[in-house]
Amino acid sequence: MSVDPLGDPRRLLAPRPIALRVRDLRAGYRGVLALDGVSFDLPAGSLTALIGPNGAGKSTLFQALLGLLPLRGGQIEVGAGYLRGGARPFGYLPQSSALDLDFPVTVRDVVAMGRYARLGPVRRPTAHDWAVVDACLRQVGLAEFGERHISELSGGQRQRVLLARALAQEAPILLLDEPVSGVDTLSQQAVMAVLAELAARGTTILMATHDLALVSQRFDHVVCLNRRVIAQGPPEAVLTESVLNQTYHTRMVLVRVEGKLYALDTGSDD
Amino acid sequence: MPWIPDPMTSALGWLLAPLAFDFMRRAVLASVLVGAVCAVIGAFVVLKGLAFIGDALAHASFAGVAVALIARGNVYLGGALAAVFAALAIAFIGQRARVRADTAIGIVFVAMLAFGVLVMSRLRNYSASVFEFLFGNVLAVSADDLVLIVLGGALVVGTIVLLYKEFLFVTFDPVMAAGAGIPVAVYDTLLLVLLALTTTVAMRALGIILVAAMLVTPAATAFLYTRRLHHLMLLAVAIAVGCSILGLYLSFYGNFASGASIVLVSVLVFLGSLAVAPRLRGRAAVAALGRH
Repeated sequence: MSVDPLGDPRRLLAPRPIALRVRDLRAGYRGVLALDGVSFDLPAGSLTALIGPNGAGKSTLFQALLGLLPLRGGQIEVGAGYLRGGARPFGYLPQSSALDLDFPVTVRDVVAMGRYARLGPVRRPTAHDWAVVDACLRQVGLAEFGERHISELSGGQRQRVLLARALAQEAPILLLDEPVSGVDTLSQQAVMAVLAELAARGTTILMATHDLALVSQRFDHVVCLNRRVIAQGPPEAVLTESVLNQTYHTRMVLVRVEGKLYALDTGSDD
Repeated sequence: MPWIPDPMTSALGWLLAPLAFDFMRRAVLASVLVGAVCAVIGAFVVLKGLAFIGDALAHASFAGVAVALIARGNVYLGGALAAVFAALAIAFIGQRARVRADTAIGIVFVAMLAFGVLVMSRLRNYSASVFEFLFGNVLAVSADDLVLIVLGGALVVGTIVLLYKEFLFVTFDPVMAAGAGIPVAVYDTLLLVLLALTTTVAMRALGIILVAAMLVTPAATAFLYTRRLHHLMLLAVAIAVGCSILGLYLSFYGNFASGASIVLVSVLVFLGSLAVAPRLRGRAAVAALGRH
């Protein structure tokens, strides 16, 4: 089922070009197809939420888009004009749980890693690269934290550092794997403000999240994933009990309080 | 006869007296160079948890050394070939095997060590040769050995300096590095090959059993004091150089085995640091800074 985004007036005035088109994507690990025929479009400059239960294939989708998994079928097309000068189209923020907090790196060192791939082997970051690093740190509100060791930050600040590193890649499409999970409200708001600003300036963003209230308020596009795409479109059209129950295989009741959407899970077994 | 300072009358004499001997000058140079190379690559050994693999590569090189001795070939070349073969085997196992990687590595290196002992047992002065390669004898380093140590060490350190940012990235965050398009498996394999070369370079000075200690202890000591990778490497080099010289002098005056003496000094420095090092990192530092 695909929900047509007729409710979005911007779409009716001028249809936005497509930044990323995925068709019938099939991929997985060790014989298990985690993605079985996934198709969706990301309009250019959209802030898109990727929702679905754990194990739905969200991280696998990111890996497949980044070329880290062999595809068993399907196509990934990046919109014309997104492959300037051979630079990679995707910036990436992996789930942060695996980071070694004892590793001897400062905040600036971590953000600078976002520049490494485009520099290529052997070449050192230039003054321009460090200027980009500092600009990205300013953007996420951590300008004065550059010389800190990564263990000297809160969890939310660390997520903003990883966001700054993804920004430093200067890619037209950002893939963010749960950047606001388990993060305090202040950091969550900081992250969302940065993303809204980026989208407004034309960056296309796909962000995995579990926070449906956040999705209903701050995103203009949603992709519901559970091995395949259950629905896609603007949140007001997609976030219905029927779609969410199909996506999460559970029975949810949606409650709207002062414009905020809350999902109450009534059919959960755990 | 050249003037030999009296080691008993002054500290300067204590320092200079051993250097009157050719073999001691070569030994100091060799152990300092080997210590420095081990310290640089040791940073990655400590951060990636490769201590067991480093040990395995060193032991595996023994098979090549044994074959070279029997065939009257170059022992460095033999050791290097065997260690690089083991490194590639370990990389292959780590990337595709169905058994646990440490099990497979354990079997590979024990097999190669046993094969080396088997081959070497055909030699006439078998136990002396085995002892020398297992525990090293820096006092027996020749001028040719020194040239090989310089060339091998320069290759290892030069490669790490050139590809510093790639090794940093794939060690710190392999998932993100792969996502950014860095060929992580290539750099992981290259690091193992460099580790194999390091164990070969260090063979004469430290012996294949003690190499692992110098790969780990100076870098682990520097880890306690530093918060950036290149600072860790520089401090580890300084610690390794200091420990190598002190260990060598103690072995000279105390008539101990030189490799063991160097390793024990560096372990003592590590234990001392563990007791006094500033706690720059970890939970204590986070707690002290409070929430932001």
